[in-house]
Amino acid sequence: MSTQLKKGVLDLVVLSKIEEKDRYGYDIFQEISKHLVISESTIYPILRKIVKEGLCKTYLKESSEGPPRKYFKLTNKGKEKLMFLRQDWTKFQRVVNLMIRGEKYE
Amino acid sequence: MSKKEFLQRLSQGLDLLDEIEKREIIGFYEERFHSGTAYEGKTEEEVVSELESPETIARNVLEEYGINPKYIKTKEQRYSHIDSGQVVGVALFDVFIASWLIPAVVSISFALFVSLFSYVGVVPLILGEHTIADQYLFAFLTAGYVLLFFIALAILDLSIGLIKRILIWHMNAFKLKNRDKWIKKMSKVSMDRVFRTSGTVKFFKSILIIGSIVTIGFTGYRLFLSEQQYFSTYANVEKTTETYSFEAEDASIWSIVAELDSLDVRIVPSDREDIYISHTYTDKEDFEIVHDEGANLLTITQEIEVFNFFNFREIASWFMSPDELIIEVPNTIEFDTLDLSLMNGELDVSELSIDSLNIDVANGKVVLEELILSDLMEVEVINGTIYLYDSISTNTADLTTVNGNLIVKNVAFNQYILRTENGKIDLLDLNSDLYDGVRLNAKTTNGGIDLENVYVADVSLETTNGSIEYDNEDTSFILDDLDVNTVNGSYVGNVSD
Repeated sequence: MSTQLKKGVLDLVVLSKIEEKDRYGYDIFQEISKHLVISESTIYPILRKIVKEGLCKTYLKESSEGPPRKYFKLTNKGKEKLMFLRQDWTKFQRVVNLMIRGEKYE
Repeated sequence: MSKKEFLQRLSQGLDLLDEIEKREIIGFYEERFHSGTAYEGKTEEEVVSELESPETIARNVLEEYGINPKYIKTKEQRYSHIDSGQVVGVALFDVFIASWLIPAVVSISFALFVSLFSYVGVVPLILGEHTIADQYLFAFLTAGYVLLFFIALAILDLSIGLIKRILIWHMNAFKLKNRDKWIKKMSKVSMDRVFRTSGTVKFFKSILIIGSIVTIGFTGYRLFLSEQQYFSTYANVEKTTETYSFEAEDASIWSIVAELDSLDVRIVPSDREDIYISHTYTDKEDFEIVHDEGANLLTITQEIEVFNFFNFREIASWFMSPDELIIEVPNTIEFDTLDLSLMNGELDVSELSIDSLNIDVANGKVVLEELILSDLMEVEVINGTIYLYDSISTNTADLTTVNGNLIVKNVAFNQYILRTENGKIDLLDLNSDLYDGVRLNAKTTNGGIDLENVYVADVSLETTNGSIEYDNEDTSFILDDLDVNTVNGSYVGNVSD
């Protein structure tokens, strides 16, 4: 799949994965890469960005197996944003579908 | 690639980012390494192989931040503004430090390399007939040369490294174009690189160095410390003694002019009726005594034709027991002039009546005892101490040495001129009765001046680096003039003018 297309929806995908449950960075990457071929190095700056924009909070979680990991948790602002993004996406895909089928959008 | 190198290269690639952002991104990868190693039990290398190259990651990350690395200036281009303060610093460094430091380090290493050629003198030790001591000495010196070689190499590498550093600093200060390329090229120039790149060569280097140290320890012990003391066997070279006799009438007046190269000289009184000279030497040398009967003048010359630096036997014997010249003088005669010049060796003159005494020694100490003089006494030494004991004169004592002390004890002269550069001046019991109009001038650069019971009318003491002490038992003695001068030292004393 075209990287340009993937990039546009990556924020939405990442936020959705965090909404399912709190996750750490590598986990998010692994979850996404089950379905999409994506480079690890594009995920991390996005995580950093959404934290900076206040959509996510981070906390350290101890583990018996190894050193603590940084977990990501959606904030209310993040949940709101995710809602908007989902609506945008639904609208957007409908429009795109219509356009590429050559039908007129009403 | 290790985790450390990976993160370092990533950090370099992200140099353009804000420090906090950079740390956050690197934090993700640090955690990624933990996930791989601690949680999944992989090695660092395995984790690295799963990841993209640090450069690719950096490019992707920068792109996510909206920076296209294709359009970024190189570091060199970013820092192209010449800082005038830095340029002044570089110029000052060049004038005051680099100007002598670089030639000094380079010439030291080259001098060491050149000195290695003297090894040709060591090889003959085991050529032809040789003793076990020769073998030990050969091994000892060979190991020494090997170590010297590596020391020279290390200093050469140091100088190359120094020059590289200074060049890089200059290129950075003047923001030279393409300097990154040059610096990269320069980093490949190194002596040590040869040893680092090849394991075999490195192994041989270690073996050679350890072997040399062990060899020096072992042979050094056998040569100098063990019971056999092989080194001293070198000194047991057979010596030849030749004697000369010159008839001397009672109360006759003589002169000796001697120009000597390397031996110990003693001029001593005897109960004999002739002047008896014995010369003890190891090797054939140019030695001659000319007797001018009309003038009662003895001219003695000695010249060592070739002093062979590679003849270790000769050097050893010189250290253990030097050649000797003993002049025995009947105590019924007197000297008009004693004019002695000597390159290497000790000179000892005692119990003589001399009109004028003139001594020149380059390397060695001079001991003068129980002399009665009437004219000028002039002694000049370069490396060595001058001792003057129990003597009297109605004239001047002019003693000069460069590196050595001046020790004067229980004498009475009419004037003293004492000079040394690096050494102390010790004066004890001078002129207990005759002090009227007597002048003493003592000067040293690096050393103290110590006077005790010096009853001289006019005293001038001067030192740059040293202290001056002047104490007399008879505190009622007042000098006509006392002049004390020290730059870096103190003056303590109980005398005054």
